[in-house]
Amino acid sequence: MRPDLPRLPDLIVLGDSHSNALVAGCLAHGLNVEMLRFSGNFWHSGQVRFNRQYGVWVRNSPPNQALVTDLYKRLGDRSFLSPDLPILGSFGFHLGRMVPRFAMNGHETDGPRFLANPDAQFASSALLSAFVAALRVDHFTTAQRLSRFGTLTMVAPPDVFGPSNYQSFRHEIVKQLRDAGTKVYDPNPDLSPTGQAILPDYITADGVHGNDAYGEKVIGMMLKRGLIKKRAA
Amino acid sequence: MTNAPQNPYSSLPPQAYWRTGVAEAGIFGLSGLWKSKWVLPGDARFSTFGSCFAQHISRALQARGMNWFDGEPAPGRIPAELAKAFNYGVFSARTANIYTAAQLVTLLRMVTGQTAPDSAEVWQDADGWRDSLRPAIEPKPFASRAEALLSRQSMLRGLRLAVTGADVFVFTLGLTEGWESAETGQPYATCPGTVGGTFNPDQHRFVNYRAAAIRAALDEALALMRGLNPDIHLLLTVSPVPLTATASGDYVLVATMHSKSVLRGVAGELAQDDPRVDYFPSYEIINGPPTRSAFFEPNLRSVVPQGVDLVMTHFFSGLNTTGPARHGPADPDIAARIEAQMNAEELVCEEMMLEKFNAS
Repeated sequence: MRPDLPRLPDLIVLGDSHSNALVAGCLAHGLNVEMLRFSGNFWHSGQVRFNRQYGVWVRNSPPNQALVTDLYKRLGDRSFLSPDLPILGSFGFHLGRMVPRFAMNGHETDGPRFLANPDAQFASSALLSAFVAALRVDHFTTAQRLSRFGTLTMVAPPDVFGPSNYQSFRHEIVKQLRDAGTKVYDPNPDLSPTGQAILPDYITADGVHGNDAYGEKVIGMMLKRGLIKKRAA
Repeated sequence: MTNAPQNPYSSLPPQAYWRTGVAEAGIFGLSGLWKSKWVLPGDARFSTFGSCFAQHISRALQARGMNWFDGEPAPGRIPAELAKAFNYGVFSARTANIYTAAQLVTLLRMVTGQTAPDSAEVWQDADGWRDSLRPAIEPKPFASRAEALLSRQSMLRGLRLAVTGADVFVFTLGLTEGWESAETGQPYATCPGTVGGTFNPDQHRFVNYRAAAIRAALDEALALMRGLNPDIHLLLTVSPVPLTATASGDYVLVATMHSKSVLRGVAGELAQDDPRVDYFPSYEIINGPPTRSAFFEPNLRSVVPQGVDLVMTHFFSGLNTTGPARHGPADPDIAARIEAQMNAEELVCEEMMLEKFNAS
């Protein structure tokens, strides 16, 4: 590394509002972290794309793109795409933008829940898979490219609902990311081995995000598993 | 001609005579070809099922902004090509094509609980499971037998809604020929071994339903539907699309004309016998001599869009929807409500991000 370049952080968190907990967790574990966080709307609508020079590019949003270029400058006119700089990704899920729409006509991905609700429609696993693929192919491509040019580990969002369409979608997105060759850490099986929702102690007041304690727990598990590590002094 | 003797033909209108009604009028001069016997509510809901020609009726009703009833709508905001691939929006529930009256009554027996949803076969293929009642309903076979049955149950819920929620159940009769289980008599949507399943001559038998059997099936279907919705009207049509192939042993041209003639006869008699059954002559419009088969593609089987347009023009001009509305205002836009909810959630997220900046 050139001696004039700024020291790299331990890792970058790239994603949506779920990045907050991950950043809090990093700080709690003494990790030097940088963050690029954009609204889930920008991710969902495909405005955030891979960019070879900057890592990502936010289309049609100069203020958000400024966050990218600011980080580029802080890193010494380098992108965050480096084999030495792990990226934790919390994008590509955005379940709140996808699941309610999918279910607006009563579609249910789980057999027993479908049978228990006489107003529900059943959605096959093939339909779920095709729906996710259709709405998230660009995100999976972005993750693939970030993995190729950087060191990306996607982190699945917390399971705050337990068995539900949300859980089915989360599982399907994790599966499709992995099928595309992207490394994914899903903390939920560690936090709730029975497949139920994670403990309320880990959830913010809005009911859908992990809180600081959750982030600390998740980052702790990732450190323990060797998925991330603190940079040597 | 004032001194001409009077007889029943003397006072008939021009359309009662072939020369004035057809030969001189030409295909585009036909008028008053069909007049619905019903005065339907202004917001009449139509459910559409049947053979592949029925899909045109579904589309035309939707295109006209008529109240086409969808008992099994697609997931919200699904890409159009995906909805099509999974057979949403084709019929009023995902029954796929219902070619025979026997298939229709089999489904309605399940809807009304007379038979269990799992009483019809599910076929296991090398790559998954297929519903023998609609083997190509999804692009790939189902992942498990359980999924195939759950999907069938979902379709049955949709079909039930399509009966209970509609004013008119449009059913297009397609075939007299079909295949059924030799053991149970269950009709199949397609011959086993063609789209799915494995053909076994000991288990699967060919049947060319006779008029009496078709009439009995339609009578039973109508009774089952009226049990769910006493006000339902049944509008029958016969698909003008010829058979792709016949297993009857007859020449396919002869088999086609036999099949369509039987269906046309049964539909006509049922419409004559029951005031809440009507017959719409799509078959005649496409197949009648005035067209000289001009409404068929070069394969002499597929119907060209101009033919469909003409059929639907007659359909809409013959409908009478001047009755008082009965369904009330449409439901609030569920999509808009969900969008608003998601936006509210997004605001929470944004606020949370701001607070995070504040805290740091």
